[in-house]
Amino acid sequence: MDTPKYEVLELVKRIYNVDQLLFGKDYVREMVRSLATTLGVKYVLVGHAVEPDKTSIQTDFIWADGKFASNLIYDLKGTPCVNVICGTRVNCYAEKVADQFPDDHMLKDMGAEAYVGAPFLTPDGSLVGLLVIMDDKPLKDRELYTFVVEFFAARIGTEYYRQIFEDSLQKQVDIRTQELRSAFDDLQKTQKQLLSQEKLATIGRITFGIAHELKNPLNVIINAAEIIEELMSEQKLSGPMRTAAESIREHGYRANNIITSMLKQARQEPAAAPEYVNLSEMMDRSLELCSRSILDPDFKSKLKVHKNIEPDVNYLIVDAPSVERGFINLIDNAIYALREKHKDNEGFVPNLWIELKARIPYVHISMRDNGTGISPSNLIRIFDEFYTTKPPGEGTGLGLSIAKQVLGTNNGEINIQSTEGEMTEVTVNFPLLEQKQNQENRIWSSPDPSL
Amino acid sequence: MVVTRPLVVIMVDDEVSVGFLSRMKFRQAIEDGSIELHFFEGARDCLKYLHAMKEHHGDMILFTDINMPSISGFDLLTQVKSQYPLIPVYMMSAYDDSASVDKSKHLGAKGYFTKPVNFGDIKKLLNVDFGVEF
Repeated sequence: MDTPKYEVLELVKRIYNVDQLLFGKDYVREMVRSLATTLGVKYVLVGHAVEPDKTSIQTDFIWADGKFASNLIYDLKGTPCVNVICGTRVNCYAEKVADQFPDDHMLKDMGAEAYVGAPFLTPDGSLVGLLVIMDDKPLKDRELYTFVVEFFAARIGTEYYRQIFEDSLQKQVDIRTQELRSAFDDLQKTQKQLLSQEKLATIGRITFGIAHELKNPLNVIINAAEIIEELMSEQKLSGPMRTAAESIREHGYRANNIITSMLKQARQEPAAAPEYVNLSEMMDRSLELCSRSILDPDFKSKLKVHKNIEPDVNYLIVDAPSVERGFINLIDNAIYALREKHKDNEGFVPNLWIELKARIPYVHISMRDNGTGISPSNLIRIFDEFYTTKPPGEGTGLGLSIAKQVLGTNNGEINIQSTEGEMTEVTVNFPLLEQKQNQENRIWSSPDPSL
Repeated sequence: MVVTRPLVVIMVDDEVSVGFLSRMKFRQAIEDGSIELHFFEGARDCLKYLHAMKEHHGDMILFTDINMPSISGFDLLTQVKSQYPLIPVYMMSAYDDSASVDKSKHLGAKGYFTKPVNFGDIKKLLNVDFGVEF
């Protein structure tokens, strides 16, 4: 090096004399300015390799002729920069650089005579960016400029690594935050569901208790009414008092039946004895119930129900109340889907087709709606317990799982087909049950001497 | 003259109306002398009676509610089975869940009637097991 050592030191000190409180881009900018002014060169640029190919450089700072100029992107091909990158070391052309790179128009336009460039790389050796100094006059001290550029390229590189590191850290924080948010939402949803289930369970327990307690007074009501009837019969009396006694007994039994079927609903045990049920009436009732519960008058008037229910289809059913509840759930689901579609579509005509027919040895039921339909991903999980697409509080996600269960108890099958946005069809098939012995309210039948 | 001893039917229920009902439902047989009905509102009174009747020869049958204050039907069942094993005990209860039924059977009950009680079934039982005519 021609320049005396102390002068080199002074030079570096002066270049380095930049506000040390600055960091990142601001620091680099000041560095560029400082390099240009201290070294007295016309051009200083700092840029980064453009991902993913890294065949061009996007400048972050260009100092040209006394001030910062607008940034640009240039292709590395045919420029001295390509050697900087490939060589991964500083490249220096003290003079006539434009002649050595005839394809580089930028050099010509800039009137570059001298060029010094150094890359800064990642720890594993891939290119991050480069620092280039150019001048319109030849370099006086090659070694000095080579040293300076290499030295400050590394320093500038540090600021770039810092940014890259911070960006990656920020990205990770964002991902984790998103994961946390998602987990939190799931947790809240689960909590709401648990609360609903807890409420249901509590209601179930209370129902169970009340129902049983009511059976005691009913015992007295029914039997006392029967006694009145018997006494009147003995005394050959009839008339309004007799009729009154009959009414008391009948309605006592009716109340008892209501309680019994309610208990069956609340119970988690396997169902009681099978009984003959008029499925056609059950379906009619369920449909009635669901139709009556529609609150939106506009939707209600638009809704077209196509009923094709074969009358008096009587079959032996286990746990009839749950089967009825299953029908109600299915119809409710169809109506919900139709209502949802109706909300967003002015001209939409909601249609519901319900069919029930006996085709020995099966009962075949189908329910079809042209509502919102079910997406394939939801369809797979549709029978899962607690799986619902309804907002929390509106659905427990138990309806279909229970329906499937109770149909299973009756050796029945349920299938759901759907085209998202267009229709859903639910088909239920269940076979005739073999005649089972009918049990009344005696748990054990006639006295068994073997006991 | 052959005097057939009446069947002693014991009813235990904390609901006093049940006593009235049984008396009315069995009034024919009571008047005929084929049934002697004893109703107790609590297990304690029932056990007192049974103790006093220790020397009694003749058939006895016991019907008891399960849910009663102080001594439950299950407790009564257990005590009767241990002290008076020959007396058949039948439960009468509003609860018909399998747990209650199984427990009763396990403790030695001979049968289980659910409320509202069908007295016709009880009459059938008394007729078949003890020949009581109604």
